[in-house]
Amino acid sequence: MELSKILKEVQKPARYIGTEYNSVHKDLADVYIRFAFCFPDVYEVGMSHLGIKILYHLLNNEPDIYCERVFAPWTDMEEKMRAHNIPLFSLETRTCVSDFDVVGFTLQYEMSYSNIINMLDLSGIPALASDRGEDMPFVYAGGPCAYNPEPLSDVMDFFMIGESEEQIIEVMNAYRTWKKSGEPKIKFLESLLSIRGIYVPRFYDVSYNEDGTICEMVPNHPHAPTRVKKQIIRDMDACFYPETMIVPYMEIIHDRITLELFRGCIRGCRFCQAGMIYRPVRKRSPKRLLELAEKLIESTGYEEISMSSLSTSDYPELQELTEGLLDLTVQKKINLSLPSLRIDNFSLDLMQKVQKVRKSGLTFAPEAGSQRLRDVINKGVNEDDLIRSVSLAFAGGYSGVKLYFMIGLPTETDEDVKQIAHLAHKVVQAYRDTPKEKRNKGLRVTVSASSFVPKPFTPFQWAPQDDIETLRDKQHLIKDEIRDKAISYNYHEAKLSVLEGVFARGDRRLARVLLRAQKLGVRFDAWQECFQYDLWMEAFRQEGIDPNFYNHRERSYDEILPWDIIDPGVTKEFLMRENEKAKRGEVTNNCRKLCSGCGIKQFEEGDFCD
Amino acid sequence: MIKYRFGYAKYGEAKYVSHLDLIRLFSRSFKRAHIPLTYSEGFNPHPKLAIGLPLSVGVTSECECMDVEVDRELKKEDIDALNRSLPIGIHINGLCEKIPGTKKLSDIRFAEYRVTVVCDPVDPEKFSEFMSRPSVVVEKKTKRKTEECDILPDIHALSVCGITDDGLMLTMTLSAGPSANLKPDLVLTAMEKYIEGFNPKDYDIHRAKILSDAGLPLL
Repeated sequence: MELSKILKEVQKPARYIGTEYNSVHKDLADVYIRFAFCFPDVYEVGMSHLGIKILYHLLNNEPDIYCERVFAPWTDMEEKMRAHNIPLFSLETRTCVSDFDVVGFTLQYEMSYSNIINMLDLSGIPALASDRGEDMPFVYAGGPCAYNPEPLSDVMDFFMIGESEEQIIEVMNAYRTWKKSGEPKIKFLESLLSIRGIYVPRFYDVSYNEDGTICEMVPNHPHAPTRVKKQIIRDMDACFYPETMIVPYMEIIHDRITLELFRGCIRGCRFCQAGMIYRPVRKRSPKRLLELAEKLIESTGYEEISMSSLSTSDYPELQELTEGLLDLTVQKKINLSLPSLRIDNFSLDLMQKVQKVRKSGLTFAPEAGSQRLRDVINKGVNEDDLIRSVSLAFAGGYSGVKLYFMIGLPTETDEDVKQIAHLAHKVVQAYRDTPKEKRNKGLRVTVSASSFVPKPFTPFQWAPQDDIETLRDKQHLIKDEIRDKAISYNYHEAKLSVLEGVFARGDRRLARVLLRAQKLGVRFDAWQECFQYDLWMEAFRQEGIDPNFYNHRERSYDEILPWDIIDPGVTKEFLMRENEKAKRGEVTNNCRKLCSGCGIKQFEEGDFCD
Repeated sequence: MIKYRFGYAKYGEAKYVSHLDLIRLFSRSFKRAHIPLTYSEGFNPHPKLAIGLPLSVGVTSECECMDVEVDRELKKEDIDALNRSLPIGIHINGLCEKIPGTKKLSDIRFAEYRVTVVCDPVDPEKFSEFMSRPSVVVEKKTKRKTEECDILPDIHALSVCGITDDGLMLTMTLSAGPSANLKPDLVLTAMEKYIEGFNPKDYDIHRAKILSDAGLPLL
């Protein structure tokens, strides 16, 4: 009754109802394991995430497991829930999260960590693992940010590192066995130590040097591995992929069918964590993808389907796949939505065929303004490529171009930064050089500059991050260099990157700051309108932790890094080699041209790289 | 192309689905049920689907209607398939092919609501007195401004139809449709203002009928 009353008073109540088409409803009498899949952001963001779609249906295929969804309530809902003492609940059965057996969080971005603490608080679950008794659920996390689990290691009972499709079933089997045994909780965590990719932080002790760096990180349990090897899927065609997806009532961010083409990336951009941790490259076959597409169109009624991967232009059978998808979408009267592709005659022709694409905007990501810096970051794009591509696009009738850049990259000088503006001017020039009868009116060049944050398991993991003042200076430098009305320029709040940096490369000691910040009232840090920098700084002050220690130091190669406990397949030697090549401005070939010896081939038996 | 009128009910959790979301929901449900909707021509084709009278978020109904153009003739099996393709809380409960000229969606004039109110006991006589007032002035919010207006001309009938353990039930017939539209919430606000001792703590609104100019149901 209380809930139905407050749902009338909040914005977008459809966020909280959970009877969407294809949502799973089970008889609780048949269920042995209750699993709460928690996404630490609001419904429309969480529901757009592919991982939840996969794991939700994968777990619910097991007759005795019931996986339900939990999202962070928006601030208006949280206020009302707290006022009426309504604990955080699952969407499907409105069960309090603390009544579940296993509570899993997905870590997609660092700026969602405060929501995790807040969601646990709203559930009445103690945030620190050591404070949770035998009556409390197991709380764990997975996802890309779990590759540096340490900032959350006092919070989580365990982490799943790598791809979960097979691993999660093993964990569930272990849970079933443990639950039947009636043994204390610690026994379950011990049983996890034999499963690849499971990191149980309480089985490790960390000591620190006087300068604050890590002295030692050693197992305190005889079966805890010295390094936790990530789990990967070997055969993408055989791997589970949902043949149905929940169709939300409200419009979500990515409101369409998502087809995952492949994992991994051949490019090796040195700033990109995804390009490193998802290695090796493994693809689904066009045959399997088309079969999935047909089933998903049938089961969802969605009017749009999209392709997802780290770099769709690198899918070897892209032509075959897109032809098949075009046939299918025309026949079913739905739209094919294209990801951003490398612009050439093939992709322009494809865009022509996919009528839905309006000839307004194309997106390019040169990432850096100067060739020197693009070589440093190993972004295999040169100016000629870019100008050729935009010229093709302008001649094909496109009049809007978005250019994505990063500022604060290692070795960056003011000159590199100014080149961002100069490159935008050259794009404008390419438009003016396109014959009037060919080009469309209304040129718009949008320059977008985000602030670089060094990430674990990238060649830049040792690099210092620019401070707020330096980033602001660089933001203004670009602004001052832009002298054309056709160019619009935007940049991100530099303060956000400070926090992202701290939690990206942070250690165990940060849990205290997180808990403190949640108490002070931080929420939804990824949302500009909610982000409260001052509260965060207050939390650091109160806990006596200096954020600069994590961000502004150049780490030495022999420093023990918090994430060294994880083995992602690419070796530290490879990352060092790449970092040294970066300093010299040397590029590395893409994996198909020449193997760079990153270590992934030795990591897994059999040759995996596609 | 054949034009059909569908009747449907919206209840339970589905009452939180907004009007715009409902249109998208229906067009996807028709796809899942293999009922080929007629699409508009042009750059961005959309199905020809018109909902008779928007229903506010949080309100349930047993009498909703929409006109839909379909590429082929429909059979009973199609309706069963459509009902299987709809989420919990939305259910097709009527279908008619030949829509009389006097019952166009634009002919909608009235809607009847049943409102269950949680409140302290009130003398039912007070509601008759409320209806006998010369005017009922409340603040009405439009997109741009808030203005005072007399809603009495749009209240065509109002009575207490039942007493519950924790309150009472009202029925009210209000103006609805393209020319004038009065929402039951606003009537409750007005009653709270004018009827002494009437303080709703919570309420549920249910739409029971949609009527045409001639006072006839649309389906």
